[in-house]
Amino acid sequence: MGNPYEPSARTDSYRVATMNEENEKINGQKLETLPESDEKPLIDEKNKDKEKPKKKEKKKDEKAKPEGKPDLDDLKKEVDMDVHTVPLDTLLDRYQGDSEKGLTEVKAKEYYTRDGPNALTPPKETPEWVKFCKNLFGGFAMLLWIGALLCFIAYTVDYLSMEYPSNDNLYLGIVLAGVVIITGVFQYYQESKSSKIMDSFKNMVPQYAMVIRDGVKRQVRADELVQGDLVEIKGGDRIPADVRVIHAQGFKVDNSSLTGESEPLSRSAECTNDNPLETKNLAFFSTNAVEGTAKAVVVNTGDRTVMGRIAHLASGLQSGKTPIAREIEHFIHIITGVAVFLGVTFFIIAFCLGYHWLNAVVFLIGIIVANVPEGLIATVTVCLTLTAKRMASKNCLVKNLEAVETLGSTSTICSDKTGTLTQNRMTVAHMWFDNKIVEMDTTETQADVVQKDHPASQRALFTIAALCNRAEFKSAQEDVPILKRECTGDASESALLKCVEMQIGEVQEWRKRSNKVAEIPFNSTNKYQVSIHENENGEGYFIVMKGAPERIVERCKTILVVMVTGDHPITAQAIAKSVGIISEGSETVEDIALRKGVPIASVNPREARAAVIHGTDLREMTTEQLDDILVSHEEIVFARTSPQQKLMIVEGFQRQGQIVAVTGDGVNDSPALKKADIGVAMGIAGSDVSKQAADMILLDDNFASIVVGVEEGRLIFDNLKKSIAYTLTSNIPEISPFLSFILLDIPLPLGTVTILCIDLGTDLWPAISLAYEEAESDIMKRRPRDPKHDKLVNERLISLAYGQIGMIQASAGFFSYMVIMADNGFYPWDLLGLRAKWDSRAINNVVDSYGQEWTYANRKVLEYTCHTAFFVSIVVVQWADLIISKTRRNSLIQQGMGNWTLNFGLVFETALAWFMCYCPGLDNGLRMYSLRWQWWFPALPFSLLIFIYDESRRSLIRKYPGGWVERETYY
Amino acid sequence: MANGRAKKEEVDYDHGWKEFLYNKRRGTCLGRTSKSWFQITVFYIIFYALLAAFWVGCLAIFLGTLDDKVPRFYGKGTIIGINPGVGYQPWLKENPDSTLIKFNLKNPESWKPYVDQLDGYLSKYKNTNGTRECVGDDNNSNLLADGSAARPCRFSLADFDKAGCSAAKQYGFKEGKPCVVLSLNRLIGWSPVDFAPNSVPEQVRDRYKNGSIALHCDGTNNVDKEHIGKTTYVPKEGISGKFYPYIFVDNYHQPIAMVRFETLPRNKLVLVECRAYALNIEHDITSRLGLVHFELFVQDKKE
Repeated sequence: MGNPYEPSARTDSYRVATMNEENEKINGQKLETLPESDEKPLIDEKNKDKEKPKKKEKKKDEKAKPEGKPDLDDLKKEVDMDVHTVPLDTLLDRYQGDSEKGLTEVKAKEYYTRDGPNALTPPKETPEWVKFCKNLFGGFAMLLWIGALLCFIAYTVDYLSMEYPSNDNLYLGIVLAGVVIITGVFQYYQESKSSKIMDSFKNMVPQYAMVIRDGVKRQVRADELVQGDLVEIKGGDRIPADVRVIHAQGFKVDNSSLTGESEPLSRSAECTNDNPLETKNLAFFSTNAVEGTAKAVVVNTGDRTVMGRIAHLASGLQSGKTPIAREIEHFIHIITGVAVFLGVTFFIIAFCLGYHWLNAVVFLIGIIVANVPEGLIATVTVCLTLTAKRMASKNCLVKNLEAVETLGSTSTICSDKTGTLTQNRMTVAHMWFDNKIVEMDTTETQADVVQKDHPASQRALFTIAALCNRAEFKSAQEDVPILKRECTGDASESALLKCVEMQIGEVQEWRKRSNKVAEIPFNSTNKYQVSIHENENGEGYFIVMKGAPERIVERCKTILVVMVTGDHPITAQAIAKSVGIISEGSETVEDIALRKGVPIASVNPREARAAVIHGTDLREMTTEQLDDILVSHEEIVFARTSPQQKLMIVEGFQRQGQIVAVTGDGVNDSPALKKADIGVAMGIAGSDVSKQAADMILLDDNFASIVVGVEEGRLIFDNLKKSIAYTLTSNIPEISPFLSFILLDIPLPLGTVTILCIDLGTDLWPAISLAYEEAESDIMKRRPRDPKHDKLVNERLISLAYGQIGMIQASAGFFSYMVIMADNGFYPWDLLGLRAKWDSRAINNVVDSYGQEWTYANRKVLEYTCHTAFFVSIVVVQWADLIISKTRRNSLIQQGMGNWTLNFGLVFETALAWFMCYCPGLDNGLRMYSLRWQWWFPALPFSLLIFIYDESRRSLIRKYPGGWVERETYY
Repeated sequence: MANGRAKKEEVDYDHGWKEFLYNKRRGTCLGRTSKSWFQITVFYIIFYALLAAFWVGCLAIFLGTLDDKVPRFYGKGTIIGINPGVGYQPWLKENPDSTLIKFNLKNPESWKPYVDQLDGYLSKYKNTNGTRECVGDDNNSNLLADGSAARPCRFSLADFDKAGCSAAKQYGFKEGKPCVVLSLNRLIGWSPVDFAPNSVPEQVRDRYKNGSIALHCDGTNNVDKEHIGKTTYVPKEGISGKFYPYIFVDNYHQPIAMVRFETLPRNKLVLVECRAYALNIEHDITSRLGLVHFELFVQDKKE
């Protein structure tokens, strides 16, 4: 399964301003002719050299790269500019502009031709047909195409050389090609469906800007702006480009789309910081002006803006394959390897045994078809889709189907604290009292229910929620449904207030009755809030207190949670401690130094479990130093980090072999989101760019949803194992008839079409139904899997499926075959070596064990009846296989038969087999003939044997943990 | 600890495929130590031995339920059915998919394989152990009742010898008048049913005899019908009916007939279709019931 989201999903929504076709052309031209970096004159060369001298040298050697292409290494560097530090006149001279009259029209046109429109170039998109072809030729498809091609060749040769050409090969070829095409179309549909989700987030409208050129003020489209343009911005506008403020009046900007922090920042003409992101005289492209007005000069446009660099960095990054895609690829390699090996070996053997080359080709087709689990890829896709749907209902929207599993494999979560751990909108979903959990109605449209009969403990809870609460409804909202009313105060308090208002009502009155005497407001250090109120009867006081009930991080116990934030280190550390990222008693190097009273430099960094790392330190680190920090500390907080540094951190963890999840909401997070194995964006607070870059979106912005994701991901990984084990098992009874046909020279026990009936018919529902299986144990207590060695399909799974259960199934099939042959007069030993006579049309009188003579046509009916019986026996033994695949360790008694999808799967596969067997007309199409009723039973003892064998195997695994049975057969 | 990865257990893995093939450090070959290989081998030997025993056990129990005289399913409504096919000889094992009889009158080697094949096929009739002479109306119909004492009728090749289809004359191949053996497929319990006197098919009306299965060979297509020339049936009335019904006993002699192609054209391929005629034989070209196809090609040019 290809990753359909690679660069494709991130489309033109980067384009902040729309472009007409002509502009696009100019832009395209420009990209090719532009010198390597347009920013060069603006870059402080000295500074740059100091920063990364090594890299610089290396880069010079690589000058051969095509010009104009955005250079990732370049983008990964810090934003480096002097436009905010140089005196205004110097800057204006550079652009030949004027602080009153602006640029001349002529100049502006010239710059426009040079720089192109002020819009982000959309990343290249994989054409739809390429995506479609990837689905059509990826995975097993190639093998099946070869099979189909061989079928057509065999048919053509047959047709040209034989008197009565059999159409079987033609049909088989068509069926195989059909299977590949249908599977391909299905996958393509699934993928495009989930990538379409993003379209709903695109809400970019053309922007206009007020520009002064030749001293005339006029409105132009934002994409016509050029460097040096003089613009006027007022509250409510979107900043049209990177600008340096010349005059400002109460001008405030909201940089949240860039930094993720939504506090309005004031902007004025003074340069207050060397760091362009911190200085007050710069405002950035696509951030919002909140209030006030300003006059500013455009310093950078389009892809050269800070936002443009970040967006390009994100879109240029290859996010790599998802873990599950790697696993499936690994598995396809194994199966393809086995198929090719067996196919070629038996092709050669058949040749050496003197078979006609055409026969050898037919064997090859049979072996390929038997080896490839045709329905498996569809099964996996459906399983992932089911999980994705389940997660969507729990507010985790998965954009990339394969990302469903990624959270389950995640070993490190890099989380930006802002807006994720604490979020801006909350509702009370559950109340927990008296040791039980009561669900609250959280739909926004609900009627305002006021209930009176609450138990005492719930009433107490409501009292706390109402009184120990500083949130208040804004006035004049009486007509608005409670949940939609706006409140003052913090999100969690507002949620509590709304809940109480809904359940009890009249909170304001209540508060007046119980006058507040004193309070300790909530802060992140003490994590609680206390207030003291007068009793309603005026006698005495009562105290109410509320605090953080849970530390979400603890629920991801086995996963390393790293905090990566733009905050100040002190704040970051405090928050990290409050949410449990830094645990009680853990010390940083600074803490140790303080405790011991020694300088920081003399403390061995390895003594400290926790580390708080400042962005400026990170900037000066080599990759080796960063790796060292990541390995030696268990609790890490990164503060004051830039987008590029976030990316570095993610890459650092990935170098350690970790599977990294990144959560974030700002544009600044998007490169890291993209680079992460799974990027998790916030649905409410998140910026569009971050949603584009992410693989998953938390619709309710609740960090706890990640826990759901981890749980579902681990569950689907387990269940996919089971599903694959179930599907692979039937490969052995499918391959062995061909092998014995060639090696023992017996009439063919199972036909190619019948194999397809199993793989694409009876096995399909049961395999999918395993996705509904419940977890066998608390999967959240497990450590994340080791992606290098803990494979989806490992040698133990193959050994069990192929070596053990598969062999029992094959014996069941052969037993059925022998029973039918003997019932009709051919004893097992008389079948050996019979093949040549049996398959020869020339012989109309093959003698059986009772001396009767069989015509070709009668023999074939008998053979196809055997195929049908073999098919039915596989269905019968697959009953047992399905039931044993429900669990990997537990007994069926512990697991139960509560999975009704699976139970219906058992009924379905039986009904389907019955239908194929007895439906009139299918004897011609599928070569399925009606069976006598007693021929359904020969496989039953083997079915029972499978069940008993596997129950005993699993009981040994439970009894002797780590014992030989577990080491060899626990997959 | 609230956060952080639990310390990994140190597991030693192979690095790269070379170490996978043989890892000196751990003494593993293909990822396993010799002890581990021994254990898994022993496990699988035992597993497969038990599975084989189970399978053989099941099969033995099943075979025990079978009758050694008749299969569980035969006759009407079964796969083999009650409509016999027709077989021919000589058919060469070396070329199993071909029904062509091709030889060159100038080259004795070219017909030798066919003669050898017929010699072999007919040799079973030389074994007369346990058979009896059936003269007059005597036939095999009482065989079933006789049980183990059953002695089937003996089939004599004398008629063929008289008609020039003897081994000594190399079954007519030498003269370019090949004799081809035709037989009716043995079906347990099957006996021919006679035609009503006025409904005997036209093709065999001249030589049909009650109790026998008459034979008629002709070209498959119109061209072949022109070329096939004169055919002689030995014996004239076809396959004798007194050997029916067939029963599974030692040394059952299957009745056969021969057809001698008297005037085959030289150097021309002739497609032949031979049909057997009795009231209870239906002819079906696609499933080859009641008939057989083969081709004759006699050459006389020097090779």
